[in-house]
Amino acid sequence: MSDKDKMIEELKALIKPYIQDEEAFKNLHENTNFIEDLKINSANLVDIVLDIEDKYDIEIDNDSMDKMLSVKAALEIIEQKVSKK
Amino acid sequence: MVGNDIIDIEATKRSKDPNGLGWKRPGFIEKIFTESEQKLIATSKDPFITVWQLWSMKESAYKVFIQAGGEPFYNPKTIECQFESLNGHIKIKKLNLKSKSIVNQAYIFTVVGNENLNIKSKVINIGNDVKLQSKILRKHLLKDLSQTYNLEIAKLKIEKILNGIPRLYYVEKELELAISLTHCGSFGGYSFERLR
Repeated sequence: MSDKDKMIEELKALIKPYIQDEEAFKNLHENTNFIEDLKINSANLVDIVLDIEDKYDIEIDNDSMDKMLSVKAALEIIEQKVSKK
Repeated sequence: MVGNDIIDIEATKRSKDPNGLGWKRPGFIEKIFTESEQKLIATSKDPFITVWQLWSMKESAYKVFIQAGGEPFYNPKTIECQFESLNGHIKIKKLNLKSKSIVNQAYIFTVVGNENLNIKSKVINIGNDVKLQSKILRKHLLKDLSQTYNLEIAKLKIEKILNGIPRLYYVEKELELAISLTHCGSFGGYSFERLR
């Protein structure tokens, strides 16, 4: 499994409790949008951000969160913050 | 332009975060509410209601912003809310909007629009079958629209365009109406307004 696939799997485990579209979740890919595709309640997107912070021991500032609407954007932000640790 | 948001109080109390803390989770309030909103929450007699009333205002305002052609973003703290009882003012980027909320024991429902708030809204119980909820809600909205504007219900159609904006069509012609749909738990709400 590549690093990216591993990260997608980790992210999938984090977002599972909040998804409301099982089909889109099964087919999750980089361009999956949290709200439009997975039907995640936008208030729960804050929980996902907090869960990511806890898991990777990073801080996601509001400017980074601003763009966190898709799996791809989330992966990029995690990668960027982890590398700066 | 119109945006709405509903919060099912019971469903929202069953929070999905790992420790089930909901809005009391460390970091949650700080991430989404401005300093002055945090003060409103801290001094509220019922902080749960204040948190979710403010949230529904932000969410509704965001829908108006997207309808107005704004680019999607996720930064609730930059949406500034003030309210006195059930009437509110919201600033989102360059838009200044007004809101009206309904708060009862079952739900919080907020509608946001421009100055005059000449919007018709309704809250309905849409049951618990998630596969049917959206269908039930749309059916109610279409029925109301057909009665209000004297249109044949079979020719009305709701379609979502880019960024999830719902648009209304009669046969194939787009109608000059702004609509907004919301659901949470077992409640759904719709709002509509004639555009000039």
